[in-house]
Amino acid sequence: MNFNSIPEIFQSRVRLAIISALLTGDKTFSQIKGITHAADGSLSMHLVKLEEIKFVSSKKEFVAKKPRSTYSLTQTGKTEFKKYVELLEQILEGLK
Amino acid sequence: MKKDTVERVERDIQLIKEVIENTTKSISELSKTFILLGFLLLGAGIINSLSHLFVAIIPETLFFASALVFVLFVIAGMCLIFYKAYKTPMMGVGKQLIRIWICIIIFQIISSILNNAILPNIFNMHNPDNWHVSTSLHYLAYAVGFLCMGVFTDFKISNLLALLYVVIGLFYILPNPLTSMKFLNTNPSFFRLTEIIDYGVSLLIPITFLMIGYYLKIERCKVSKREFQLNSRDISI
Repeated sequence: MNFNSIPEIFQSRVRLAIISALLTGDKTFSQIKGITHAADGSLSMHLVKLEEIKFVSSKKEFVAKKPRSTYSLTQTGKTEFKKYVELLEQILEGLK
Repeated sequence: MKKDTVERVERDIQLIKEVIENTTKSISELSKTFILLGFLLLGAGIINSLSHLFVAIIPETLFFASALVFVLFVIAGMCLIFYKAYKTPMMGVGKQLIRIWICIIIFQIISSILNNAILPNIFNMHNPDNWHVSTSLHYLAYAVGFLCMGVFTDFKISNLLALLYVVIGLFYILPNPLTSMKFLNTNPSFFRLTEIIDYGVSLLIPITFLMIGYYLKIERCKVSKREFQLNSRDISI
């Protein structure tokens, strides 16, 4: 087992931070931005990618006439993330 | 190669840990606020009960001075707690719940001052109905707070507490032999029974806050463990 077997989606630190943040509950775009410290464009790109592979789902609404997107982790996202953490564990175990 | 892999794995684990710790801090801080509030209300309740016990032997002016100190103590303590909670970087549900509880506590303080000091002393209103309505509103306001918590979070116990406080609120406002007759019945043993019920119910508030605080604290740990179910010491949170 080595790091090459890690899915491409988890190879970005921003995507990893987004999924970790959503694990503890739904977050708005600005909250995710505050956690990941990513630029707007870059963050949007990563969120779109996560939505495309159905790891993340989004809900758009208007609050005080302003658009607000809320993101949540899907069951697929949770399962895959759990698998990824287990993989990290296995790698560490294998190296000991 | 091996060193690079170890570094990367450790870096990823560190990142996951940090993000989860920062995002769960909100609920953790909320639990601390509830525990502090519980202890404060418990202390204030004990001071209040003691001052009532000694009212017969201490001069009236001293009694009112102790009551004033008690009110100031509660207000100062609550301001300190909410200032601390507000300054903590909270987000999402935690922050909204703190706002709701701030509104409820402010309402409680204002209604207490209005019913215990302003209405009887300035407007000379000593109607027992005032006491019934204010006590009922007091508990119904807590019910609203717990209901909001139940709606915004997964803490089912909060809905049960809301129901309990609605029942207590209705107990004080609806006609029943224990509260309606309180001001009319002159039998000392009956009056003592209603006083015991009042003290028991008033003790319920700090106990509820302490219970909610510890529940949120324990539940947070359970959530973290359930989400990961990891054995590794490196990542368990």
